[in-house]
Amino acid sequence: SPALKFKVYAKCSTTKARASTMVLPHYTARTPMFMPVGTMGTMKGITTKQLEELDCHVILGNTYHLGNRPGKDLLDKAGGLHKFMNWSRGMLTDSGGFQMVSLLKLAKITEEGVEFRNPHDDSLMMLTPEMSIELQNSIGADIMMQLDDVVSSLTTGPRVEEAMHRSIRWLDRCIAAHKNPDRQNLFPIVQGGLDIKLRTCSARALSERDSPGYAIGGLSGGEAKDQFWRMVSLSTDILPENKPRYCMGVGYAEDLVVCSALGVDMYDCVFPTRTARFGNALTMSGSLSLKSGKYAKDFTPISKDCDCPTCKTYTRAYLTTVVAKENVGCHLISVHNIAFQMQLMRSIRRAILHDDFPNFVRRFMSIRFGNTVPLWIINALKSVNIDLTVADESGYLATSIDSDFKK
Amino acid sequence: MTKALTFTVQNPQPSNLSTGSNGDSQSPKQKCRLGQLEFTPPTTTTATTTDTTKISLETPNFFQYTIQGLQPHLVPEVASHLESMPPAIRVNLEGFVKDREIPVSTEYPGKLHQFLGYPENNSPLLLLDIYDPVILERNIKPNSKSLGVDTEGGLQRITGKGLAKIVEKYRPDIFVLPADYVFSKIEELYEGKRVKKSVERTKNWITEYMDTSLSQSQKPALFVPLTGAPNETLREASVNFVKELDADGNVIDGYVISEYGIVGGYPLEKKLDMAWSSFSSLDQNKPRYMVGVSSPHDVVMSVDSAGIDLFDATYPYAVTEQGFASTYVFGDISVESRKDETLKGHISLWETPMFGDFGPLVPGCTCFACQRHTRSYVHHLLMTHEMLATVLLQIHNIHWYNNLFKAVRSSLKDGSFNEKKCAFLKNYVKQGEDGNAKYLLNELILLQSQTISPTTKAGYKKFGRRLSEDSATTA
Ligand SMILES: [Zn+2]
Ligand SMILES: [Zn+2]
Repeated sequence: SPALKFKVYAKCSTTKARASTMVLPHYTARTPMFMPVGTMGTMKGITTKQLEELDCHVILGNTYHLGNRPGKDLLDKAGGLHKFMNWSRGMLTDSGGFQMVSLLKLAKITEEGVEFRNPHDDSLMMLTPEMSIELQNSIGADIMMQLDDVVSSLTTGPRVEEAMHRSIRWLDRCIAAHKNPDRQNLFPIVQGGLDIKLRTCSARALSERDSPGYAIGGLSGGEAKDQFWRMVSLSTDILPENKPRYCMGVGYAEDLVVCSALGVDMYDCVFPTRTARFGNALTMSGSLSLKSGKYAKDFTPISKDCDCPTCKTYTRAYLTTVVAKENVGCHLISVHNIAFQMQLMRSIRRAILHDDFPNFVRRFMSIRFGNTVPLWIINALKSVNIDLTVADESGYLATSIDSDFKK
Repeated sequence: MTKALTFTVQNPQPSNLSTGSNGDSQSPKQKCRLGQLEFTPPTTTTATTTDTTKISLETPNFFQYTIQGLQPHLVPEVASHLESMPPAIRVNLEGFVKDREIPVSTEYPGKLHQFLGYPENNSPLLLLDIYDPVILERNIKPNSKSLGVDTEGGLQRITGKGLAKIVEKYRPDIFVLPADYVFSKIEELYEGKRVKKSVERTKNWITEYMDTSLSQSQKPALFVPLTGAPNETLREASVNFVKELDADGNVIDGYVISEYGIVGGYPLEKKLDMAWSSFSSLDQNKPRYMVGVSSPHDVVMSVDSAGIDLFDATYPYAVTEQGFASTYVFGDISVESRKDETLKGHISLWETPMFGDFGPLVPGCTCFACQRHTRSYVHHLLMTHEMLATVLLQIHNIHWYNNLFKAVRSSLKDGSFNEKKCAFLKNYVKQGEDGNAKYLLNELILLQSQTISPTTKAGYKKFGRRLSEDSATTA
């Protein structure tokens, strides 16, 4: 593709993990990478200069929200969102469909598109694949997503199959409507719910389109984690080896590590910045609630290994005094949480490059979970030849617990 | 022993215009002045070099207004884009008080500077005062033994002794001694009992503080509040107490007049006359700090009529909280490209025409926000109640405020202060229909009535809704 050059520069010899460069029109990103979400063309009071300093390669914008405000006309006049917000690196936009279905209760999906009531004047409106692409062309992101027929991952039955086939038809309409293939990339989205046959069918059909990259969608919607990883792994097995793979809506540290082992390259999630708003700081061993008085006398940084400006400057006790009171306290935690995600991704890439990824995974799990690791993680890692239940050289081994998520 | 904090008055160039703003036509004495505040930080045990860097502040100038040591909305790496800011911050003790007299953060092993994140060898001059000057009305029930602080956990009392302990731990560079501020806009309260009590209590608290702090080794420079206004007798009593306290001239390093110490329904001119009557019988070579007076015309008038040297930067914060960007100019405005906007003092980024305006907040402004972002973008951020709006506006507004002080100082140096002052007041203070002066730069008052930031959901409801409909129609 003229707007995306993907080069795998290191492969893990044990798992499906790989480290790559992805040359985009605005920036050369390194994967596996995490993309923080800046819904409205900004991210939680953080300047674009800070985002660069935090090593963000690609950020996310939400098409539905940007279409409402500032709107397509202004984005056209501004010359796209990059210029409007003064961001010179990579950008990805969603199709707007997911927002529509999750925010607007009245959305009805037909072959034509997603029908919804305009919340401002109550008129009936329609988002079609063509309109989504037109808007995304105006925003001008390096990567755009196809409009897909979104069903909850908990839905079963014929609706899932219908949505999967419709998403493929919509993809073809998106491809036809796309005006800037020389400077913007359109990613299809693998659908098919939790059904092996449907997901296989979707992944195969999309692979035939020879798109610049692929997304794995319709997950992270409350399904059991053991089903989640199996769907991810199945998709990465089918999708082309030489194209980037993007798992949508994933952002917990353990999910990033496991999915990278399964061969995923890109992630996005609102969680790190959203949780910062509530005074929660991310660390390797879990998240710290700095709003509680618990850390009022703790004169250590959030994490002594973190090199972010917040950890280099402030103690947990200080953050406790400032976090509840002002926006600026929230900014301090957001900075750390973004830095935390970026540092984690850098250490994943480094481990892959040195072909030390399996050891990295074991170290990570021992810090995060100790000796009891959720069963789904043990199963997922076993599928890529890392067996946490058997001791390694360092002597670490884990037994499984049933819960999806601990700490 | 040489003092850590020194102040040198440098008389400004005499101006060819007579001042006499207080009607003192017999001896038109120029009160405005230039000064130099210098601070030599105590040598630290861990410092690798023996030479400590001196902090130097030309006056008139301001202490950066901070919330827990941080400028509103600005994390340090963002604040670092601001150029030549005065290396002096104001920290409000009440921000650290919760459910006990001595805050938990005093258990931090280092100085308050380090707790607030400043490096040991490169800290700004840190002034610790008790109250946040943005809040002008309080109900804090002081008594003869202790002052009150309103916290999330309810009212917390602090005694003079308690303050001495806190200061011993925090080790600020300057501490503003406590005073029983009356915190009321009702003029009658300032006559008779209440204000008499306030002078008495202030005396008691300070005496208790001084007695307790005698044993401390590392003492901060002390600024003392002058109280008693508007009662002449009581003001005199307050001044006399300060004279006693500072009998050898080495105890007190500066004088403080607080807006909330002299409120009541008085116009600023009257307040400044009261302030001046207190200052005039005290040591002329000590700095004068006016707390709670911060808007540009008030600053210019205070420099002119009461020789004030130091202010707070609460004004830019108030401008930011309204969703405004400052445009006022002290000096020649005929050169400004948007003279209409300059004369308004600020532009509102909420307004519909900002929607498609891809120019900077103020043409020619060199601040980080104007260099990198547009009016259109800031308007969008306000409309979507995104926090970056107030970040960018605060950068511009504090940069602009800093320029005001630079312009005031340079006019004092070249003798053009009076001329520029007159033009400035003419531009930004109008005669109202009721005959009273109308201040154009009145955002501080707006902040009082509106405690919510425009980037919060409540603020969006208040500001954003009506306007969003406007812009939707233009869009
Ligand atoms: Zn950090
Ligand atoms: Zn500016």
